[in-house]
Amino acid sequence: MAAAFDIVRYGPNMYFVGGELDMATAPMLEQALEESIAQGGVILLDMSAVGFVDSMGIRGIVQLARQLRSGCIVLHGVQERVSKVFKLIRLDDQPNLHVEACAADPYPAGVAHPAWTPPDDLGVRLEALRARHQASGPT
Amino acid sequence: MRGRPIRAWVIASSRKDMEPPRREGATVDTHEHRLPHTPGAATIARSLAEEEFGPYLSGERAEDLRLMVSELVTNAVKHAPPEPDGTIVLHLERNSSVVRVIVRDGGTHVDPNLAGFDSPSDGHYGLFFVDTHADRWGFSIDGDKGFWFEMDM
Repeated sequence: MAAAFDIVRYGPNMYFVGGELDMATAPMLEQALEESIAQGGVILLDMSAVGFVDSMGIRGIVQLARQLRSGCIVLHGVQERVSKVFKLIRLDDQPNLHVEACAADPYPAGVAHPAWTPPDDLGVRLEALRARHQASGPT
Repeated sequence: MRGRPIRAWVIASSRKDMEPPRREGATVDTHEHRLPHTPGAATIARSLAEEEFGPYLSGERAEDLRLMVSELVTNAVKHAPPEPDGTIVLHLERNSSVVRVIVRDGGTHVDPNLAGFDSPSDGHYGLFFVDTHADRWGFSIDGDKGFWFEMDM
């Protein structure tokens, strides 16, 4: 049986994750995030399409967060049934990890992602923005 | 197919209210599945258990069932050798009031590293989840190692 898991990168440090995170699929998540983890920064995982996470999935996420030299992993849009498991073990207390849920399904039927093509100079723009506003950012 | 019953029920729990496995009531339904001793086994086991017991549990309890099945199968794949035929065994059993899951592997002892179910801070959350969600659980070490849990309907 094929593992029910998919991951789509939609920004330098942004990933849309879908399916089930267990001993078969956690390594796929770790592999997909390798580049972002090595660089550091705020890494966003949209978890709204993840319906199941067990201890091996949690272990994978925790290990990724621990490898970060700077920044953190933010799990957002976490489903109620998954956030129940995260709360049980206080995943939020782990270093470099934050868990956010939406009040309701963030993508009810008919809600699509807006069409958007990343500009060629996205990296340059991000660097410029940070350089310009560094003083007002977290220190 | 009826599997070899597990004879020695060791009750393992940090919970003071834990009881032995339920004996009363005739078994209504029993199924035995052989799963590959590979990481993909957890997905298969979750589907089989949900298909079998889902109709008898609330949505939330069915989620707890999936989590516990996943943890026991993960332990069998990660911490134990397979049965002589190269598989691990998922045994699903139901009577009129209780569903029972048994996961057997080819191991001869329980890995002491798994036993930290009352202090999951060391990263071994698997049995902690079983201890949290099962109505009763334990393991057999009578030479045919198996972890089991029960949920009341």
